[in-house]
Amino acid sequence: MTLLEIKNLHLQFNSDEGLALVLDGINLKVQKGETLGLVGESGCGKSVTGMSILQLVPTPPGEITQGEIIFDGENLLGKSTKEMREIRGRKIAMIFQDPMVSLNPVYTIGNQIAEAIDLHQPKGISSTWEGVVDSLASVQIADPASRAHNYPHQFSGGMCQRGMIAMMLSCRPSLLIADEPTTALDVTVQAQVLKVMADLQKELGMAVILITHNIGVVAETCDRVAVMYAGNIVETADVETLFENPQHPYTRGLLGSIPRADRDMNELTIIEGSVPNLTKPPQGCRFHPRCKEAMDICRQTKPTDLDLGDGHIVACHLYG
Amino acid sequence: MTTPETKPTSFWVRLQANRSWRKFIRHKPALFGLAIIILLILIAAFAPAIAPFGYETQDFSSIRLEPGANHLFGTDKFGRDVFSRVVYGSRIALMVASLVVVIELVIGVILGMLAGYFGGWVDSLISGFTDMVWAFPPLILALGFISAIGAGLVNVVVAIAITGWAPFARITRAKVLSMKEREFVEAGVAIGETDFNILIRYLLPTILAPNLVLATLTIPAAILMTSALSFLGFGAQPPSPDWGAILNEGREFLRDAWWISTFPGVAILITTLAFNFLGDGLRDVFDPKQTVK
Amino acid sequence: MLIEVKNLRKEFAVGGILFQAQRETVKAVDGVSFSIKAGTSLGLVGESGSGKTTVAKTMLRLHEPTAGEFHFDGQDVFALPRVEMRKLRRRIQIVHQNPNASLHPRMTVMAQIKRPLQIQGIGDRTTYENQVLDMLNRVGLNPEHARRFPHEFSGGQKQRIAVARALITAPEFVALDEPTSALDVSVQAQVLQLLRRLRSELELTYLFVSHDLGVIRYMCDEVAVMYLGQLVEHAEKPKLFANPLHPYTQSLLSVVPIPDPTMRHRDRKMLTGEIPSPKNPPSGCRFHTRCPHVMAHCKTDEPKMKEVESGHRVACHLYE
Repeated sequence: MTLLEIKNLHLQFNSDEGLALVLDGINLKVQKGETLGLVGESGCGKSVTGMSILQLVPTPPGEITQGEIIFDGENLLGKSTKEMREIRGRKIAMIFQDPMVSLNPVYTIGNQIAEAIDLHQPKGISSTWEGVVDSLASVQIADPASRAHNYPHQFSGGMCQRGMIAMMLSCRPSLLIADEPTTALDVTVQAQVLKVMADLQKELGMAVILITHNIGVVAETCDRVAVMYAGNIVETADVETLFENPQHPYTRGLLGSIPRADRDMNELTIIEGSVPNLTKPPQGCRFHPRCKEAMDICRQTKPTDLDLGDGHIVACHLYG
Repeated sequence: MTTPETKPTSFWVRLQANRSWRKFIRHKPALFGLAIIILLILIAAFAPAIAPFGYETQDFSSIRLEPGANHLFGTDKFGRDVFSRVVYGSRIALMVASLVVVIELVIGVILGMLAGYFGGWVDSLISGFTDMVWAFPPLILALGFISAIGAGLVNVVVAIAITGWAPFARITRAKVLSMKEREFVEAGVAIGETDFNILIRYLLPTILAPNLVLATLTIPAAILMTSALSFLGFGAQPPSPDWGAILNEGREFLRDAWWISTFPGVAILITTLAFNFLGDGLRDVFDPKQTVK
Repeated sequence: MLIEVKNLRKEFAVGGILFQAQRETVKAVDGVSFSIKAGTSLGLVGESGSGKTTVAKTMLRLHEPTAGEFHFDGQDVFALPRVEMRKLRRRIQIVHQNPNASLHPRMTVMAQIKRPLQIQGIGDRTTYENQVLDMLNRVGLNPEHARRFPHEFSGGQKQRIAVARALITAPEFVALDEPTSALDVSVQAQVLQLLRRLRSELELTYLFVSHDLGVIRYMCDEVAVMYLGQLVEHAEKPKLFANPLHPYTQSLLSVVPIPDPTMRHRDRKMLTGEIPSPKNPPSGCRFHTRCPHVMAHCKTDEPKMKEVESGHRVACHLYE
């Protein structure tokens, strides 16, 4: 069942250098309970996509010019500020790369979790300290009863991120948007946080949008993957299909360019050039200047989404 | 992120693309201040053409005349044209203030860079000395200095500069402390740059902006200080048309000849305001973090 | 051996600006020894706080060493007087992690790559520019780029400029400090390929510092693993990846995300907790607080580095 559907979302930023078309017609579906990976390199628009769902994109300079974001049958773009505040946290939660920024340094972790619970509870019912300690225990914090009295600076990076997760999941949202949740963490700690997230997701039956540049993390945690490039989703597929049978030249290049720790590689696939400036995006397919298989049509016409079956969608003229 | 197209690199094109520059030309008060300063510089440069009379020209037939068609700002007790004197006075004000600031800048930047870069006992010594100079009330220190070396404009410049360089040293030291840890400075060490070259080629360019801001904001203080010292009789000596000196001469006639003191006072006010506007603007451009909005 | 590092130690004093008594010593590097054969590359891998970058920067005397020796081609580098050290910099170079920070923001590309030639007096005034243009060509940039300033370039191009500056004096040894961790994957692949090509063309010896095991595996002949300022294992690459001996290396290799969903259910040796603070490292074996095989004497006795087979050294009480 579809929980969230983004239809033809266009978003632009008014920057000093001119108008940047940051999202150029995004289509995306998230099913109940699944983990969708949103991958791409910096500037591809993956974080902006996540933030636009919760309407956290600063306006101005950002502006959604077209499209719909349908969550649980309702278009979020028509909601008032007050209605959005109700949805944020209670139905859709979001965690960011740097948990220290999201946590208030002058309150204890326990206080902040209690407040998060209260904020989204029906009036009159307030959280109990046991509830707070339980939620810390659920994210594998050792000695949660005394740790709840700690301030954020007494927590390490990985513990802060787990504390954020505890806080965000305390109201049992049906969708969690995780924006690079483990990028700032070391691998051994990253593994711990990813495991906590996966366990809680199973337990709560919530859907997760995992925004990341780390293809390895996607392969390990996601059910489906959407690959973004320069404001477009170029390919969507379930995780096995995408890694075994990538179709878009960018996806193929990206997967081939990762040096792997589990086997020796003689050569990496090289995608020449760099990401375009979105104030002056290339005509036609935005990837064509870097594409080894570019044809004439790629320079003129933007490719449309093509369903190759089983939800494998690719936007490329090679298959048109 | 982006592949730049081949850009023409002419100065004007680069300037227009420069973020600081674009921010500056949108800053209205700063532009206003700059316009007045340019006007003042033009007035100072063309003073002989603008002033209808010489600043020393006495005319005993027209003593303490009210402002009118012949004498825009009136005349003083010797029948000298106040307008001409104020116009010539702009030369003194600007010259003295710029000289003071340049000397402060040089002393402050050199000491601040040495303290910040070498640290240790060099830093302790310089910083201790800086704090000591800063702890004195500047007017008292300048007065003491002048009473030792004698009155006069040149001595005023020396006195103000020697008491006022401490902020430049502080700001420079702080900036050098943060910049010397930067990777590009480390990269300079790694290719074998000498300490001298690290200071001049790598660190000096990075401390210019905050010092420029400070210099612009120090000029009005220097003008006020010169005027204050002249007003007290320690600075420019008669018949010099220093604004502070004119102000002082008009003091005894405030009741019946208000114009003698008022117009140089207004000139001081406008000049200091203009530099403050410009300085605030430059600070907003170069140091967005300090901007309170 | 071109490079021989013996018992390198580096301590930093932190805090206590006002009162000397508050000063704490951080043992960032605490007794590290290794050697590198000419023409090979050693990967130095570890998590944040392991001291891997400090090793590289101390070798180059960008930090003054607290103790230990570094012999380069028979010369005792740490004993060289300042003038001699500056001359030696022609032969040992470094590429920093973040090209946005490591290039002089107000020097043109030509000026900054030319600088080492001027300082070291290589060739004469008339040949400087041609040498720079040759080098630009080698790192994949063209002559028009020479007139521009760093901010006009993308991250990958900036790193190429930094590489050109490091290699212009034809050094024999180059320390690469996470040279691609600030770059996107597709750009990382370009820079890694460039670094591999330059190594064989110019017969360079690399010390490659990275937290990314995939990158290390792609770039290096030997790998040394660091934990809290000390080496725990050092082996030829095939031996280390096929048969990691130290429990920390074993865990690191098992939890690094693999971009292949079929590997998802492999056995992972998860570690508990996080890397302790180097201000106050654990007694005995520094890894004992997180080690799954911890024994009584691990808490009191520091294990010595020991060669367990040819080309494979490990510091762990399990192998005594």
